[in-house]
Amino acid sequence: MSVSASKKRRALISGLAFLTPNIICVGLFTIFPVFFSIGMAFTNWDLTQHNMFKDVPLRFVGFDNFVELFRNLYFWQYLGNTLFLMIGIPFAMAGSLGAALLLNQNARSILRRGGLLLLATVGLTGACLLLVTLGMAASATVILVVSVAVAVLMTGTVGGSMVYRTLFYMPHFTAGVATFLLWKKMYDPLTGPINQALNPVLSGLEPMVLAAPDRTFSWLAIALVLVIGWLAMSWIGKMRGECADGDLGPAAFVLCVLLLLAPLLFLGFRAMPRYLWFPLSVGAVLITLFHAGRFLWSERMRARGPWEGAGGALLLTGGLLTLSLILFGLSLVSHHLPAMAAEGLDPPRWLVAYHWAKPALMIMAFWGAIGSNNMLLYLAALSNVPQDLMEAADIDGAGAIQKFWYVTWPQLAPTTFFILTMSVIIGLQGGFEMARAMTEGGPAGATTTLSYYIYSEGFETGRLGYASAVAWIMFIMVFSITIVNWKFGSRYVND
Amino acid sequence: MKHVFVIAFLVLSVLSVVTAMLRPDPQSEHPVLYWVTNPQETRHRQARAFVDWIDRTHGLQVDFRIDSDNDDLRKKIIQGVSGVAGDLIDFRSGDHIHFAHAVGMIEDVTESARAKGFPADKTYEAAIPEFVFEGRQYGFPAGSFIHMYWINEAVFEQYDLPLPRERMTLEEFEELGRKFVERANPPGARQERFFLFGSGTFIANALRRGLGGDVFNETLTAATLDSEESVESMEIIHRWTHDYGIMPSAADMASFAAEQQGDAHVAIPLFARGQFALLLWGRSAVTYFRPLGLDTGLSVMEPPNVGFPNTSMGVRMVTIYKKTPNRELAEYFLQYLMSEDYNRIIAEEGEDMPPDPAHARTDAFLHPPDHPNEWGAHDTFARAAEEIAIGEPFSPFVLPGTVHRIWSRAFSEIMSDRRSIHEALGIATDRINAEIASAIAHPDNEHLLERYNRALEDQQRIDDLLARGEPVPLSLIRNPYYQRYYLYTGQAYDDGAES
Repeated sequence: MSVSASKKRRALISGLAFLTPNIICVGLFTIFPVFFSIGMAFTNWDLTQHNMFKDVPLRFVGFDNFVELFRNLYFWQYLGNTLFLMIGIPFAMAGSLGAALLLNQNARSILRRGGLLLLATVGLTGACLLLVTLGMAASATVILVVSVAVAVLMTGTVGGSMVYRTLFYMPHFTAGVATFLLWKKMYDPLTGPINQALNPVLSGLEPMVLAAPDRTFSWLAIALVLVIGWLAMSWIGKMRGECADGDLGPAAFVLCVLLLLAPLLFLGFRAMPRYLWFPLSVGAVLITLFHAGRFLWSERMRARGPWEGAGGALLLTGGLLTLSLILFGLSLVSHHLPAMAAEGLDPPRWLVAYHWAKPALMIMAFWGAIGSNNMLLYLAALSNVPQDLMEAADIDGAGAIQKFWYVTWPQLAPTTFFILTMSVIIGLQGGFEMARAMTEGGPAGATTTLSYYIYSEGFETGRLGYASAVAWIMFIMVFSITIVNWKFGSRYVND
Repeated sequence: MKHVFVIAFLVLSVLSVVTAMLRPDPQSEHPVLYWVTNPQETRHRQARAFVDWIDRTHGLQVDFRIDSDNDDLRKKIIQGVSGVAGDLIDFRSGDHIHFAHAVGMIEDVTESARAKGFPADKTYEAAIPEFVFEGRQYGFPAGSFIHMYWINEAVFEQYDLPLPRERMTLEEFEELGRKFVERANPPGARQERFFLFGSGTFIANALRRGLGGDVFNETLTAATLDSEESVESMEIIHRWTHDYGIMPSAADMASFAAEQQGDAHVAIPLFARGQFALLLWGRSAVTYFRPLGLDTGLSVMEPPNVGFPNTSMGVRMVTIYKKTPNRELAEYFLQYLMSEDYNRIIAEEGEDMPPDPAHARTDAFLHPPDHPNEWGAHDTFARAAEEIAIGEPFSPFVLPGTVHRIWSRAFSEIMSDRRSIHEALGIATDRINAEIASAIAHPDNEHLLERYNRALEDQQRIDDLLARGEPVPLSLIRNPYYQRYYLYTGQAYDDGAES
């Protein structure tokens, strides 16, 4: 007994000895600064006033820093920028999942079949030849693209999935700033390859748009809006059905409906003519009320908790909302296209145009996210999907899409939830490096995120108290969203 | 595991010792003086000259070391407030100097400057607001720069255009600029050649001042960025950029410099190969032209004259860190900046204006023997530094860096058509004034409030006098621009008193 206790004590001491340096460092450089910064947020700490050269006492200012923060219009702009950039999260997740699904295939066996390789090579070479023939791209670029594509396919054939996995993961282990500079070159509005490729496309599109019958694009815009309405109403109807089946709680239903309709109605109000917005809005609200009324009378509704199934519904509603916003943007573009074509269609000025700078960063982040750790997590999760479930689905005659939707996707739920939580946290905290290296927060603050704002307030103006207040507001947001994620996400995972 | 841990510990310990042994010896038989400055080869020549000079003139041996790794404002400030900065610290703009002064990390050298012969009035008058605060001197310029338009004469010959004169009206300038753009760019193709490259905010400042307005009012108590002159100056810049193509837009610049957006150094080679006919830069541009082998004729013109000829002056400033253990030696370095040895290097190397204005009249400055193509330029710089250069307006009630950020933001909003000129300048003015209000309301700033109230009274008197059409005593005016402008227009008189 005493020998065992002595062993335990020695093991404990030995363990602590190993851990002590780490504990000390974490305590000193992480935990202490975190708590210290709480105090700072409530003081008037300003580097120009409170430092070793001056004996001005530090004062407790209560919530003054926070009040100033909320009154500052730029804070709201930068918060908006941060949230806007986070719209890319669903796409990034979808990209990671897509890449993981592709990389989970046995590339060597597929490619050895030859057909896909042949098809891809022929298609790519044909496209490149077409470009060269039309003089739409520099031949060097074409040669490069063809060479890289062939090399990738060939090495994939020889090396199998591992080659592709390495290639896809490459953005993640490439130095950030180098990547940013590369993208900056690609986004060059006048000579960058992206606009070089867009220029001939837009030049070709221009006469087509102008030659189109009158109001064609207005009708297309309306059609897109109707598609959005149809998607939204279908989803609301589907959720109502799930409510009736007892799979979705009423509170979750209401929240999802609000999340989906409120931004769309608001944007419609801002951008659409009233004669169009009004009937569409009334129609959407009436249909929603109809669905709500139907399930409110349902007997089964009472049998379930109010937040039943909220996680999954919120995730899919968020995805649908994002898709709707894209369609809405396309609808606006379509509406204004004839007028734009009359003035000449120019490619975006990307990083130097106020309204294009954020999308430009989002596209780059999307590219980076496809081959990120998220892809690895999905790959790991895919390898854990039980094969017997797949075989059972095969026996039941399920197709590839059905197998994905009813077998793979639910099995990936814990990973998806984890990735979503981490992406939201990183999204709220992120954007600093990109903005610093590519745009310096501009143009006109278009790419200044909260983290960049903290940096500039802390180190460019020296207002450490105020910067700490911004940091803590950011923390509260991260914390709140994480709590919501856990509350609903854990249900979603367990569902 | 224990063995692995012990081995790792031992290996790391040995490597630590090896690293420590490989580091340069911090010890020296002589006092060691660190100079935090930019990484230019000429700094080493200046440093070697200082070591010789102090030995020759004071009989002192110094180990003088250049620290160019910490030449970043944030590093300087953070190291400064942490007590570990270099003995001598360079600051390359008034904004930075004022920030360091506000922090309190730079030494007041007023008395030693008088004793050792480097008082503020020994250098250019326009440079003084950059390093003299409330009558106290904080350092000495290692060089002063004025913004002028460099002219690549070959480009004008190429397009059969007359060379710009040293002083041109706005109309003449615009006409020449439009002609250049038309002749230098084939019709229908993307514009690749521009008449002028330069920092838009600097160009706007000179235009605003030429029209009779400034960032601050006469007593520096309020921002006046929303004035009519300010609006008009921005209209001109906007027109030059978006209507006439005289200046490149942000998109054009991004194309020229995808690696360093907005970095003016990209403009030097473009100017050398004729893509810009004019380049807004100080005299130090020659330090970039010479390595490029630019041997075509170079001359210089003033910013276009819209009523009051002017240009701005800034300094590269050497300050003494307050916690230096070598204050006496550091002061000798500032004394050295006024010496023949140092000023001759500045003149020969083609750096900015020498700290001692007399050296801007030497043959070494005006006619560098190896570069006759520059001879038409240096004399214009020398005259402009004394005749039309004006210091920046630094309000004691708000940090210049904050003003710069707000103004740059407004500029960016206007140039990206995010806001109208009136709206953007109105917002910027309100923001700067809110910063001033916040600073003087701060309980720790009672002295600032008293000063502000006195200045407000003076402003009231100035406004009353101007409203009655009477001249204003110069001592009431604190903004260096208005001191010069009102004397020029006859709206002020020198009453001999100190402002």
